[in-house]
This record gives sequence, structure tokens and C-alpha cells, in this order.
Amino acid sequence: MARPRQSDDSIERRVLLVRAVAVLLALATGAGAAAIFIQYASADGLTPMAVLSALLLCLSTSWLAWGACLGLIGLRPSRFRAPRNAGPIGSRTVVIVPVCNEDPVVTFARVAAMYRSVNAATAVPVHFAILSDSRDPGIAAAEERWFARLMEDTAGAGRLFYRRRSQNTGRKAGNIEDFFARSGGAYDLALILDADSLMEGGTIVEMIRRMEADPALGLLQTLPVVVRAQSIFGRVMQFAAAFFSPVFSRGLARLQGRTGPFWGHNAMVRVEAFTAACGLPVLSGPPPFGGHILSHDYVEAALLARAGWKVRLDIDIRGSYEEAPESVVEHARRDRRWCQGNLQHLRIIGAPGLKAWSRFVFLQGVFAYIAPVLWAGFLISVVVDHVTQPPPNYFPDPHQFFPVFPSDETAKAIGLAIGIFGLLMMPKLLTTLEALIAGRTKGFGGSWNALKSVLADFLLLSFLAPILMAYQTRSVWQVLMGRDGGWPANLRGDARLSLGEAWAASRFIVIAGAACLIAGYFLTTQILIWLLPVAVPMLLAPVAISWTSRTARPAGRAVRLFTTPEELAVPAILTLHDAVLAAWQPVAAAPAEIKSLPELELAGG
Amino acid sequence: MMRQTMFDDQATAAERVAQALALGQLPEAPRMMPTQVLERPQGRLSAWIAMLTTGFGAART
Repeated sequence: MARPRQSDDSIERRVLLVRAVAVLLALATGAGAAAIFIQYASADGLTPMAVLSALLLCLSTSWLAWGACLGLIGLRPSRFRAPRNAGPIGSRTVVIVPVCNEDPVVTFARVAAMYRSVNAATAVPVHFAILSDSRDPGIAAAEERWFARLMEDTAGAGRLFYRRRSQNTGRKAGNIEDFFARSGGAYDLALILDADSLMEGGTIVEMIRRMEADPALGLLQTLPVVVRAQSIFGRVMQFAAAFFSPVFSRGLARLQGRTGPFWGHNAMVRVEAFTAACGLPVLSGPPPFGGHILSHDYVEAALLARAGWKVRLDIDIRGSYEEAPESVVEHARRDRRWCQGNLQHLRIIGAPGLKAWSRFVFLQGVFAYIAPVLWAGFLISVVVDHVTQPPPNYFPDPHQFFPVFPSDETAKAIGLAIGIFGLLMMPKLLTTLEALIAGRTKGFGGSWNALKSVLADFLLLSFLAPILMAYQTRSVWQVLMGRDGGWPANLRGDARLSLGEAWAASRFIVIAGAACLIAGYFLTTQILIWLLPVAVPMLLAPVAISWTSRTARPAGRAVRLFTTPEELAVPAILTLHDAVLAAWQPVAAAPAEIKSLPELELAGG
Repeated sequence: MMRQTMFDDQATAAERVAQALALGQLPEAPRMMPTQVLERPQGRLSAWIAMLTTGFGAART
């Protein structure tokens, strides 16, 4: 049942203290890095460009330190036990599955699996509503056919529903809003999923019980586990999410208090709260900053908090799954949409009545995308400063006999570089240590295999980092130049890219890398070696993108690099989904129906 | 349980939902989603400045 008020207050006080310490620590770290840089740069006389570099370094390092703080705060295991209603369930619940040009066979098979799973978990009826925004007539026709098959297989008349909008106004947020506006009065709770979400029936029931136990809870977010990655890139990201996310998310949960996140799916909302507080306006002006709100989930979480509802992330809820991009290009494509959505939040960061933490979350979201731009700006300003500096004057006084040598501050620069590298590595190292001590590595194929995977993950993601940074920088640039990226459909399934396709999607990165090296060679060979870790991956971007999109060597359920707990012990809902798919696939039409998906938007380079 | 629906009569609303479900249709049970205010009034300061300058201009002529 609901906790006593005093307990809530003490939790809030602790949350405020943790937030203050984390923010101050991050800012102090950034200021410290800038101070060391100023000392280093002033050895030859401080220039305005060096001051700019210091400012950029301060912001970038603060951001890194903030990430490290999240990891550190999340290291300690949580003792939080969410209240739950152990009695009979009284809420009318609907599971909402918005789809838009997805493969209906795979998507509807997920619904069939979840429907069976939830019926096995409770006798209380839980409805499922597939809300289609598909614009492609072929896919729309296929959806109707496969919904008929779904109904036939499950005998779910009166519990399973399908509807397609004629206009997809407001995209996903508009789709959900349309459902609530038409049918929201029939339900108390709604579980919002994505087309690639899967959730165990027992998990859905547990979420209902937690929502029922706390009437002030407006939204309950789970931590979805990434599953079914097939490509090298997909499996690396899947491993990183499974291994590191629990700790970082626990840190986030400790900082959020009652102002938690909403990630747009795998979350349950109280319909009364959501409908009263989350009617999104269309922002004035044209996209990318005006128009419909793209990253609607963050805004909805902020609006619920503004209206006084609790928004909570419960990372102890198991059995919540999602899929993730299988290639760098797919990842970048999704990131382009998120980038535009997060930068659009600048328009509403000052919205009246928002909680201070919600504003901070918006700022964090913006920083996530401008941080790579700040790093790039720092690198460029350091090079420019180095190139434009006059040669040292060893005889400032024309009458002096002995030369005056500038003081050697190289040790400070190396110390600074080591410190920044440490900030990047420390949370991951400590998480690895935590996993070893807590015995969490068993699920990753044992301690030795987990360590190998952590090392390989570090090497591969370090190599890909400049490529991802280039995509992010371009996204920010495009948004600032007023280019609307739209809402391209997600491409799921096989994501293998040929070298030609990878080249088309990344030639601008190769050109930028080559320009960086040529400029470094002609302007200042001294720092050329420092540019290599950034420039070489950029030059090899097409090879890296193509290679990492290849399907990883299958090994059944045997332990291999990047093994995750869900690969060793396949969750029941995934097995159920596979069984439904196996029954449906022989009669499923060839995927001709989904051929009309938009071309890779990034292919234009 | 039918709070905030657009039906005046709760019993009628529940009946209509039950009828729709029996027919295998999504229940028509509308729920208002009032549009939230997120943008501060645009150009309030500039509107004041415009009004004042217009006023000054009118007074001068």
C-alpha cells in the first residue's frame, strides 16, 4: 500500500541531496580540468582561443563526469521494495501496440505470445489494441489479414482490437492520444509498448499490482532488456546494455525521486493521469523546432510530474524486452530523430510550472547531442590555437644575455588526458568489479568470458566512437540548419550492409577524416599523432560499418563473446513468440509487403 | 470507474462499453485530453514595446 507521507518526504530529501552532490561534483570536475588546461596553455601566454578551448573542455568534462556520477551512484544495490497490491486485481487494463509500417507477421505474433502469456498469468481480462499508423496500402492490407489470423489463433474476440488511422496526425503520440480520446474511458491502466516490445504476462500483472498499490503513481517505467541482436554491432550494443545499464539506470533511479523518466514504451500509465495531463500541443513555427513534439515521452513524463503524479522507474521488474538497431547506420538514423526531438526540447524547457528536475532532464537530453560537438570544437580550437601561436620569444628583453625558456607544462597535459580517460573508463571498470563481486557475470558466460566481452566492447566501441560522433555532429548541424528529419520507419530484421551501401552512408565521414589528417600534416605535424585515434576510424568508416553489420557467428546457446543472460536462458515469452512465428511463417507471404519501406535516409551521405 | 468520460449517464456508458466488447469492437468511451500549455506567450515583451512605441508615436503626432 502507499507509503506514509513522512517516508516520501525523507526519500525526497535524500534525492535532493544526491542530486546536489552529483551536479556539484560534475561541475567541479569540469572546472578542475579547465583550470589545469589554463595552466598548461598559459605557459606560452594565454590566448583568447585557449580560453575558448578551456570553456569547451569544462563543459565536455562536466558532461563526462556527470555520466561517471550516474554510474557511481548506481553501484550500490538497491533496497527499494515497491509496494504492490497482493489482493484481487480490479483495474481494467489495455496493452497498446502502436505500429507504423512494421512487418505484421512478426509484430502480431508478439501480440499473440503476450496475450497467451498474460492469460496464463491472470484470469482478469487484459485487452490488447493494435493501433496502426501504416501508410503503405500493401502493409495495411497485410495487417488486416494477419489480424484475422491472430483472432483465429487466440479466440480473442472482445479482447484484441485493431484499428488504422486514415491520417497519422501527431505520429506515435498522436496515435496514442487518438486511442485515449476515443476509448480511454473504458480503461484504468494502459501498458504502452513499441512494435518490437515483448513482455512476460507475469510482468504485466506485476505492473498492474504496483500501479494499484500506489494511487499517486501516474507512470511506471520498466528497464527493457535488449534481445535478439544478430549482427556484430547489435550484439555489442546488446551486451553493453545488459552489462552496464542496470548500474547506470539504478543511478538514474536514485536521482529521479518521483520525477522519473518515460522512454516511450514498456511503461504502464494511469489513464486518468495521462489523459488529464499529457495532451500535447503543436508547437508554433515550422519543424525542426516547431510542429509536433518528436521526443514526446520526455515531455509526457514532465507533464505528469507537473500535474503532481509520480513517475517511477522500477529496475527490479524483469521480463520486459525490446529490440535494438542492428547496424551503425540504423543506429544513426534513430539517433537523428532523437537528436531533433531532444533539441526541440529547448523550446519547452521554460514551460510554466515544470519541476526543476524535468527542466534539468531536458537540458541533459540536449547535452547528450551537443557534447560530441563540444568535443569536436575543443579539438579544433586547440589545433587553431597551436597553429596561430607566434614562435616563442627567448629574449623578451633586448639587453638580456641568457634566453628565457617557457616552462614545460607537458606533464599537466598528460595528466589531464589520463584524468579524462579515467572518467570515461572508471564507471565501466567499477561496474565490471561490481558484476564480479555480485556474481552477475554468471549470466554473461562466467567471469572470464565477461571480462573478455568487456574488453572487446571497449575496443570496438572506442573505434566506432569517432564515427558515431561524426553522425551526431551532422545531426545537430542539420537540425540547427532547420532540416526536418521526419519520422522514418524503423527497419528491423536483417541489417547487413554491403561495402558500397556503407560507403554511401558514410562518405562524408571519410572525407572529414581525410581533411583532418591533411590539415594536421600541413599545419602542425606535432599533433598529427594525437589526431590519428580520431581520423583513422573515420577513414575506415565504410569498412567498420559494413563489417559490424554482418551476422555474428551463431553458436546456439553456447557461451561466446558478448553472451547475455537472455541468450543462455531464453525467456519464456521469446520462446512463445518463436513458436507462434514458426506456426505462422510457412503461410506468411514473402516479405514483399514490406519492400516499400523508405530507403535508407542516410544513404544520401 | 467512468470518471471524466463524456457520457452523462455512467450506467449507459458501461452498457455501451459492454455492448461494443461483446461485438468485438473497440469500446467508444471518449476521454478528454486537454491540450497542455508548454510555450510561454510568445513576444509578450515585444508586444508591450510595440504598444508603447505606437502610443508614443500617436502622442507625438
